Amino acid sequence: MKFFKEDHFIIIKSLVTKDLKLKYKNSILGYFWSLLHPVIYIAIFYVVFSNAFPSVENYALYIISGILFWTFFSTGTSQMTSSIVSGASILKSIYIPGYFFTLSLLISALINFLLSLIPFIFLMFFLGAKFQFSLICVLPIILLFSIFTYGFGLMLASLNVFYRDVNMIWLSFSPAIFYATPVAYVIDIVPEKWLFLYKLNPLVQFLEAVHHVIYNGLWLTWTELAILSAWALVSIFVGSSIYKKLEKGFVSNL
Amino acid sequence: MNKKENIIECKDLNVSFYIQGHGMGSFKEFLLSLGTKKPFVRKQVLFDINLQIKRGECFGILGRNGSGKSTFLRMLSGIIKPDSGSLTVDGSVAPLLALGVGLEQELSGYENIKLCSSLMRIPAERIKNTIDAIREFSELTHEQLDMQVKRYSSGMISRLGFSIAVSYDPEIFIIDEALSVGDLFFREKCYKRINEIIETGATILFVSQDPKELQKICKRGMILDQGRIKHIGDIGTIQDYYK
Repeated sequence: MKFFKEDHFIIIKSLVTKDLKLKYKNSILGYFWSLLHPVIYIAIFYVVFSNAFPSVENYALYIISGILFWTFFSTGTSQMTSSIVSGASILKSIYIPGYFFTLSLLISALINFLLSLIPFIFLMFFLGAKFQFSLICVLPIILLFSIFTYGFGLMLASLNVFYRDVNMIWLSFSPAIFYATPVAYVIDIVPEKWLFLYKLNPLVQFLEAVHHVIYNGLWLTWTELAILSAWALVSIFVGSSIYKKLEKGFVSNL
Repeated sequence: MNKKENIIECKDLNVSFYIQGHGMGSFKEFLLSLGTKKPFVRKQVLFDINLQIKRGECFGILGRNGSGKSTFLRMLSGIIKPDSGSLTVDGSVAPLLALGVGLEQELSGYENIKLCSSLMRIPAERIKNTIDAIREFSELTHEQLDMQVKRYSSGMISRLGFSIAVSYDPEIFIIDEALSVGDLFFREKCYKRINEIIETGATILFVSQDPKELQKICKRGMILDQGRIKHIGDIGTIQDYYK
């Protein structure tokens, strides 16, 4: 396969290393920020909302599982949006496909996410998550969610080369999408007549699957898996189509 | 290996930029231009380029600012694809990193050597074996290379950039007005290294605005003027055409 050419591997590996090194360069807490960031959010939501949803048993566990996945998505996409633009000086001086920059940012965000997952796994068990085999369903969710995030990020990154407004739009929209996604609240509070529209948000499907597996301790159903796969495919298809369409104009517009 | 005599062959090449056509000055301008203008406007930069460069040749490119020199070089490195015509490049092209543009400010000199080399598709093993040579050539000390590049002087940056670019024996080497920086001694050293590279049989493309500089190493050259080749020929005679 073309993707697994050795020289592509060399480039992506060094870009990922660069991203990881740069992320916490000149900061005292370094890697701990990737733990601290969700901790702060979890604490805020727990304090503010735990009384608002008394019906939700073990609200802390509910919110942790949601916030971790949300943080991966929101930080991942916002970093990816400027990935091609910030690779400008390299893209102009050596032939490297622009999507390498987006892909390497996704991989470094994923590594960060997986690393931050480790301490939270202990916390989740402490809060009452049960250790059972169905938890293995988290793996396909993470895989499909990463593909979904990548496709979406690639679309934003490609458009951002031509209209830097994309970055601004996404910065203002992503908090709004947070409230349109069951991260801090349960889906039951959404009025029935809006539910159809609400479920068109692909993040609803992903977050519901996350809660299903981690919070409820259930196996992922085939239907859920099919829906998630479909969204991942749609995202990667749209993202790469837009990328291919715009690619030839990158260098002249950077 | 059966290699062609001509390392670079351009036939009737036309190259364009694609610039967004929507008005970007203001929101009103943008809205008004929607539907009336195409999303992309093509702006042709290079016209009918016909050129053969022989293996081992040192070829000079002369031209004023905006004449299409950089676009031509980017096309050779595969960064920009031509619209029409055929282009054959039969060898590895060293990137235009010489000015140090690819260097990451926040990383140390050593980290940048690894990063830039990897971007040039050099395997880790080979980078490790070359690091000493790069340090020696750049005349930067171990201590300096451990420092973040943002603390380097501009001369140090270009020295590091140039050293990385010349260290992997590329088949086609591009020098894009890189030698106008760095101190006198380092510049002399660069010329020496370029002559060494020529002796290994590599092809050199030397870009400059100064015909005298070109004469130092090139035998043949061309003048680019507003995207067209104005003249190709002996470097000695080229000066007469460049006015």
